[in-house]
Amino acid sequence: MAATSMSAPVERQAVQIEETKRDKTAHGEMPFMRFLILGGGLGLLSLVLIRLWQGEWWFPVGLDATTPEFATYWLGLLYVEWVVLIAAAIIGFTAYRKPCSTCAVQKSELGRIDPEHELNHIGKLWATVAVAAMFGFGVSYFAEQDASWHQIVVRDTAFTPSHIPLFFYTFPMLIIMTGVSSWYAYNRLHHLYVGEGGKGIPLCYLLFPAGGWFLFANVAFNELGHSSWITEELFVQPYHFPFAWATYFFFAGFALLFKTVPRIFENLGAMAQQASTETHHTA
Amino acid sequence: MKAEELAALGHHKMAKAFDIILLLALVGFFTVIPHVSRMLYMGDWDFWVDWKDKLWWPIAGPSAALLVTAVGHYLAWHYLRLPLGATFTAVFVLVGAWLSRIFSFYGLEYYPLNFVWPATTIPMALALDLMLLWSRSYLATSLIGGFLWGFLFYPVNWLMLMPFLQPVTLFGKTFTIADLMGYYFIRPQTPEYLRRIDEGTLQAFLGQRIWISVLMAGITCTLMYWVGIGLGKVLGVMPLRKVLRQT
Ligand SMILES: [Zn+2]
Ligand SMILES: [Zn+2]
Repeated sequence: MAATSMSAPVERQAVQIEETKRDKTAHGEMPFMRFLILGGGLGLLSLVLIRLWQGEWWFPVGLDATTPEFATYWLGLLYVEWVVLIAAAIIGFTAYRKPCSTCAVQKSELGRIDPEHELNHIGKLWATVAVAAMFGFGVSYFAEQDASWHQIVVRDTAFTPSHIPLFFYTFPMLIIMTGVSSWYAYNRLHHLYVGEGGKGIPLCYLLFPAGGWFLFANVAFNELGHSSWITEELFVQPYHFPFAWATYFFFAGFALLFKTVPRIFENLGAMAQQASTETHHTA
Repeated sequence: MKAEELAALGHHKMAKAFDIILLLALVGFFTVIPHVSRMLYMGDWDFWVDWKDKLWWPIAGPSAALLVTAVGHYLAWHYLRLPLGATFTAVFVLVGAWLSRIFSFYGLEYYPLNFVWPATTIPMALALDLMLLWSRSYLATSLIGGFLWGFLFYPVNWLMLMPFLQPVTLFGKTFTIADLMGYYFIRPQTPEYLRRIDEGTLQAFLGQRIWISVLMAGITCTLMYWVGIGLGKVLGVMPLRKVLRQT
């Protein structure tokens, strides 16, 4: 009686380890294609909703920042965006805060990570970069929209209807999403960047999120410039240039991606070999 | 691994998924990066047809556009050995620009589209990629492709600009149609183009003026090509190798 009750949890644990050894999907995580579709889809939906909101309330309540309607419709949108940002940051950084337990079990029990399992991790990393790229697409749209809106209304606030999605949604979202990419690489695929058991921080981890950070940092400088020196919105003026320099840091995202490419081929090759030996055995 | 084996791996279901994700990442970042550069360096010259002058636009325009296009051109060749990077970048920067012109300048503020159309760089991007494909040399591409990039910018876009350069007379004054549109569609936050741009003794060279600008653009772009290559190397390739050691 006592013996069986002792052995049951041990047996269950053994079964769990057996399962984890064979686990080919990124265990306990959303599959990467679903992450891409869900993350990209929700992100795109948020951008489209903001643009529809602008189409509705652009002229009716967007012209004068001192009115109560402006506070309701435009600052209201701003606060909604902040809630979304905080939620995205909390979910993104807590979901991937620990290294993958399946990887750890496979490494200790089999001496290697299952190739298909690791491919799922690489796919997830790539998907986070693609979702960040989607918010980059949003920056592309809202930044030039800002140039057009400044021709309609003389600047009377830093929270003008075109700044609300640009400076206070897509810029911070880029910091969060590129940060999640680096965070994911650090917690799941660090061995690809520094070698097995290696230490250190690859530069691309830091430079990729630095793009979003520098974009946001130049918001401060830009608003200072517009409130002190030139209120006119000449788009080619020098204190807009750092926005362009900031975006160049996103090239580091491709360093982050392409570092994993040789491993993708290795893993695909290993999977092909596994498949061919399996068919050999059955035949 | 042999080439045929590598190619066979490319047909795997998982490899196809990676292709799609990479394409999405490339589209997003190679829209925003060249587009932000274009709007901040070429900015008002690209937004308004009356700013498309003969002095600064033919020089500032292609130089600004080449910077990030050269990075795309370099990264595509470096990582994927594809002579398509410049064309890809030139296409998606226009997608970004047209989305904004249609849905912001026209869709939200009712500026007519023929007042706010963006300049194209696709023909020169094709020339740049072809030069690299044929020569396999960044030096030859910079000297010929880079020069053509700057040199062809005005002639290529002149086809679209031409109708707006017709003279009109109003209240006894002669304008171009572009200038007249600039006076008609009010832009309270843009300093007017004549005050900022159309100055300088280059006016005295009359008919040669555009050729001087176009030649200068060719030379500037030959050099700008290397700024783009350097940028791609420092931010797109070097961070892959460099690891900050924890002590
Ligand atoms: Zn794992
Ligand atoms: Zn602004």
